Amino acid sequence: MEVLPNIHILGLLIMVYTIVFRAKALIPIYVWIFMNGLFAGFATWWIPYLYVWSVLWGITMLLPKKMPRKVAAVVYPLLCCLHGLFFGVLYAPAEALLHGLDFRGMMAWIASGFVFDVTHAIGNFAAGLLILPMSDLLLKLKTIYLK
Amino acid sequence: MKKTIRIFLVLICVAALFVGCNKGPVYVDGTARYTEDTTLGNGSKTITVTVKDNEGKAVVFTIRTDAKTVGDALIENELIAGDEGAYGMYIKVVNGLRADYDKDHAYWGFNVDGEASMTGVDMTDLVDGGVYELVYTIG
Repeated sequence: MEVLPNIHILGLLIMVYTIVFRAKALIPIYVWIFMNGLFAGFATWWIPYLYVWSVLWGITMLLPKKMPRKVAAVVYPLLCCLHGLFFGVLYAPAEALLHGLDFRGMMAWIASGFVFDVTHAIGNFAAGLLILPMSDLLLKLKTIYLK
Repeated sequence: MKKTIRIFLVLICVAALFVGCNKGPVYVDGTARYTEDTTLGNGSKTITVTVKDNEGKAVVFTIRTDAKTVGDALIENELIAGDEGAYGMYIKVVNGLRADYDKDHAYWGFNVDGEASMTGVDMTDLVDGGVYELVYTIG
């Protein structure tokens, strides 16, 4: 993914898994979280990971299962984009607790990273355009192989 | 057979998440501010600062300055940004490239004359002719 600065497809994949596998999507998500910690080292950065990605999973779960395709084509990338935009806000409480920031310090931390969150959001929106076709494909494969 | 397929599917999904999380470098403005060796500033002292990015690519800055510390020289030429902390400045962005440990699992290492410095940039006195490095370090 290094050829695409500021872009990663985690939000896309998490939403696709959630749309297709519903609650069972938590299995690969948390296996990845723990293995990520194992390979990269369990440090303060890892603690917010325990909840940040499940927020996206949870909101995706709350979306209507039978959303019209035209609506889904807009809602999915938008949700993915918003998760990127508010990533810093989601990360901030853990950051504040771990580093002893008060409320003002936490807000300053969010503000200092906001420009990156905007970039993250744009990348997420672009990746999010693939959520509908990818979930269609995965649903077809699921029907064929896991009937 | 179905159980095998399910396990295989979980492994594929996890592997995809690993590939997916391997995001590229995070640039404030989408690209490095300077991509070629550059001379900046005005002043009676001259230092050399080499910035090595996540791929090891180096850009050498020749900085002319009257600043007292290396940090002041870098800030006045808008090469670095970061947070003030109890132990000095925690550099997060150098030449537009972010290394925020909590988000990128990387930090900016600071070397003086080729060796890791015991002080931060804002607590390192600027020496005329000094050779400094800021190195993107994963870990």
